[in-house]
Amino acid sequence: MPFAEKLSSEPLAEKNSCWRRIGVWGDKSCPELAEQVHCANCPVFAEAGRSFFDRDAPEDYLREWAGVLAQASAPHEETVSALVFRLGPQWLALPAAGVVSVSELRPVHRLPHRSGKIFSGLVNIAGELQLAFNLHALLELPVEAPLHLSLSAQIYPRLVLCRREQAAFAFLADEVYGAAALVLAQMQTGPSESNSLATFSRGQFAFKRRTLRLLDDELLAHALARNIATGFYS
Amino acid sequence: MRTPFKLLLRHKVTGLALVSALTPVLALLLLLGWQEGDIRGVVQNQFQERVRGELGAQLRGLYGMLDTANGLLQSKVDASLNVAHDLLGRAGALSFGPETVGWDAVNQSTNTTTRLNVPQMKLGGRWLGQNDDFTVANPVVDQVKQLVGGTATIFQRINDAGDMLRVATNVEKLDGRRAIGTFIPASSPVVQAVLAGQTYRGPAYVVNAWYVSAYEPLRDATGKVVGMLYVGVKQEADATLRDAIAKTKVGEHGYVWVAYGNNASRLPPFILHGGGATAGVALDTAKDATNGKAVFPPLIQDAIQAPGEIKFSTHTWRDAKDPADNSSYYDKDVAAVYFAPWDWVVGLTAYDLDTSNVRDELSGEFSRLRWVVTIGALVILAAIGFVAAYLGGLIAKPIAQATGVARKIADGDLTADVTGHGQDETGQLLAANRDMVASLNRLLTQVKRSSIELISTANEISAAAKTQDSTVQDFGASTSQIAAAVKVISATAEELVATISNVSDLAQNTAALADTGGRQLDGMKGSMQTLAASTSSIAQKLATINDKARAITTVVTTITKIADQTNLLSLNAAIEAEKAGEYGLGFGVVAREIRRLADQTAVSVLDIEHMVREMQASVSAGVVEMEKFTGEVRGAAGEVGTLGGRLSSILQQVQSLLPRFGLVKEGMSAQSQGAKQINEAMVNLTDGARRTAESLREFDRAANNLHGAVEVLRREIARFKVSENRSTGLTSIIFPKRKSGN
Amino acid sequence: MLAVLFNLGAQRRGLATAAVERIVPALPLTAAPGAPSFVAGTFVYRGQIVPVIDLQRISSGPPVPPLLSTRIILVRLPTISNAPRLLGLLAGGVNDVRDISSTDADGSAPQIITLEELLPGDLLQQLCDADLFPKQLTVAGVQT
Repeated sequence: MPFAEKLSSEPLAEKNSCWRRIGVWGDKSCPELAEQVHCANCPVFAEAGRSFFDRDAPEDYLREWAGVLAQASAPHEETVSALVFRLGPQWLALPAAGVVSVSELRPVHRLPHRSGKIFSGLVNIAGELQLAFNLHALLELPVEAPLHLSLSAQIYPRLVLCRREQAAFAFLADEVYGAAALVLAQMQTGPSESNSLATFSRGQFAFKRRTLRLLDDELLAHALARNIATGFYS
Repeated sequence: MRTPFKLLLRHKVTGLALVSALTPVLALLLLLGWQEGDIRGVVQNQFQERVRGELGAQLRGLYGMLDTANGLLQSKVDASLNVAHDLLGRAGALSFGPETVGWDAVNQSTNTTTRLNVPQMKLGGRWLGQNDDFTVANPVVDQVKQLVGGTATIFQRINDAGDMLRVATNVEKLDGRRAIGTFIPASSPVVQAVLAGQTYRGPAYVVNAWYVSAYEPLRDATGKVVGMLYVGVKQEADATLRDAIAKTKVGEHGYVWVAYGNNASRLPPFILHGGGATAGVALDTAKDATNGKAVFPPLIQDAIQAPGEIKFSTHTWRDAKDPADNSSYYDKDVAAVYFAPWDWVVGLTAYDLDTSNVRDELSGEFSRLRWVVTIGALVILAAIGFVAAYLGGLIAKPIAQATGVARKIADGDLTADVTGHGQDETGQLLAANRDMVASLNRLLTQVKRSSIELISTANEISAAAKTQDSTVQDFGASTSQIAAAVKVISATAEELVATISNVSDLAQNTAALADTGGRQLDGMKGSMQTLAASTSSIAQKLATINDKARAITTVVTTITKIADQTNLLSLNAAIEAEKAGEYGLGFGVVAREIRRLADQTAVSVLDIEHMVREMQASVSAGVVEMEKFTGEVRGAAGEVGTLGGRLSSILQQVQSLLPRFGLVKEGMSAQSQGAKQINEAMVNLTDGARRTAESLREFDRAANNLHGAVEVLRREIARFKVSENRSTGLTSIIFPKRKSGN
Repeated sequence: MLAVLFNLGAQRRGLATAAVERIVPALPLTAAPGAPSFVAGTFVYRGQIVPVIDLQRISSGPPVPPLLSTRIILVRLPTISNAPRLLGLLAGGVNDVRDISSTDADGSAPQIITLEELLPGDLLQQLCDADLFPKQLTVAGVQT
């Protein structure tokens, strides 16, 4: 039994394994729990975690690293860090500087006589009420999209909250990929799905074999603010 | 005995004759008495029916009279109503107010006074007024009286409930004023009917008399009932009606009466009482003397239930009218009928007294008949008695003579002279007696001769039997001894057979036990094999678990890499955040979180490794244990096999022994059987000897008995005096003396 | 002050992160023939050959054990030209970056150690001599 032999050399920290005996996974009798609340906050636990690394590296692991680190870093180029998301069939990007949070879906409360095609209503994000907009409508994009466009194994619609100066706005994205650095030099112009998409985008990028359009956040915020204003005073 | 017998026969004949004569007479008397009760009942019923029929006819007449009177009154009321209607129509429409008028309104059923203000009731725009003075004319109501003579009243509805106030009337109060200012409460059936839009017809008590009346709703222009119109004619307007009823005659003492029906509040309850007593007193309190129940109320209730039908009841009570004898009560039939239109119950009371003389006469007739029958019966009885006594003497005399002859023969005197005469039954009886005496004489002579011969023969038989008896007794003793010896042999043989049987059974049990043991061992061998199979299967499964655990370690390696990368990332992230200075503060927080995450991942890997290690340890221990166990099981299975072999060889040996036991047992059984047969033969033989001895003894006893019988016969014969005079020959016969001990 | 923690012999030390470029795993190193004994070898980082020295071997201690927690701390050495020179420090127990305030250095917390203290005066020179640093780019500012 070579495996059993290999495991017989247990590290000292593991032998202690207090979290299993008296911690939250044990009988919860550890006096430290009163202060730390959870073993994950406890220095003993952290120490055990660190001591885990006092072991031989798995085979090939270090060699893999050597390959990664050896690669010459790309020449310094002007990039823009952006949140990449999808509205219907179109992948879009918003400069990350203006993105406040990406969260799970929450119910949007319609405002009588205010909610319209573009302004959906109010939504509660982290305890604050935010204006929610329908970017699909603004950019004239359909909601349905072919599956092969997706970048994730599991597709979750998300609520994206952006802030531009004092004005914040939230919108629903059909899928959020995450942050990506877009090399501005690679930006191209190209045909767009709709006129308004062309209006609000600065240009397009090839991104993971899909076409991605970088949105002009300033223009977008301005358009949304104007929509609200006309909505309120009309 | 001779005299009573003679008297007894004569009495029997006489008694028979008397009984024959007496029976029909008694039957006749009994029948008479029984029939009398029935006939009386029938007569009574017939009388009651006649009385009731009479009462019914009278009542129907009275009812018709009332009906006619009521019809006349009703048509008068209708005429008054039409007139009042016409007058109202001419006077103009009904209207109210705006002026109001005050009333001290009296509720006619409770007599309470209410002060109220109501709008003036107007007819054709003219107020009807508040007029209680007859000297001042009232419209409509006075005109009604002038034209048709009835009473009329106009009511005003004074509230929503519908209370109706009299505002104009031609009815006169006792004080001579108009009867206004009282109101009928809405709860009254009259008002209920009027409010429902109907005309109410029925008796009405106005001021102090009963009226045949009609009430009609009065409506305003919108059709709402705002008042009502009353017209009425006095119920007993014609006093002759009352007289006609009162004059009704019911037998000599009966009378007619009239009571109020439904309305119990109307007093006095009896309007008319023909019984001569004060109205409403005697009748009302009358109670049945037999059961103490009230007489009239139940009957009146009964009549009200079925208006127009005549109801009857029979009671015994005292009326004030009853004849002077204060202590006597009289049976009376009462009939009543309900006249609904006036709510009257008219009744007739009839006295049974008036019909009782007829019944008394009938009863007298019955008594006379009974006397005649009794005296007639006594005369016939005396005549028959005499005739029967004479005839009895004639029949009894010859029989007494024949009886005397028979008595002498019974005493053995065959010399009696039987002289018979006459050809009747008694003569024939005496002749038969004569023949019988002659035959007896002949028979006795013959018997004396035969008995002498019989005795000598009996003596010879007895002697022979004695000799045979002793021989047989000797033979019995020797056979008994042989039988005893054979019995001993047989018992011994049987014992031996039983022993052999036991041995054989034991051998068989042993064989069976060995067989069972062998089979159980076979079963055990099977179980052992199954056990061995399952242990190896478990071992295989354990090996599989071990493989899986090894697969887990691959996963652990992957997680290890991830944990390391995460840790590295956190370190570098923290460094980068520091470089970013103030802008990297948030980044630093994220870096710390990542590090915490890395810690948790690492600890999870530790835990997984720990579990896998424990699992593998238990699996290894399990495998070792299983192998040891499998070894033990295999060893045990081998031993069981060996044991099974040994057992089956024992089994074979025991089984080969069994048939031999059988042979021995059969031989012994045969021997025992033979001994038993000999024994049975001996027993039979002994039994035969014993039976022979017994029959000999029996024979001897019979011979002795014969002696006895002949002796008795001889003595009996000796009693008879035979007419040939040969009785002396008997004394020479000598009986041999019986041997003692037989 | 944020510091990278590592083991030096039996002691726990902290190196200020200001000079740290990055921490990388102890990947397989290419042996540098003729180099001083404390040089563990070299590896290629973004196209640049980086020498790695074993911190325990500087003071002739035993080499750092080859464990996962043994990592290379890449530090930037100030040079005359603007292009930074990188040096790898092979150390054990590199698994934490912590803020260590200089005031609570009461012995229980890891002690801060500076790059200068870690690298004795002629160490860099020896590296240059061993052709591990290009000669034209002389390292400056460490020998104060």
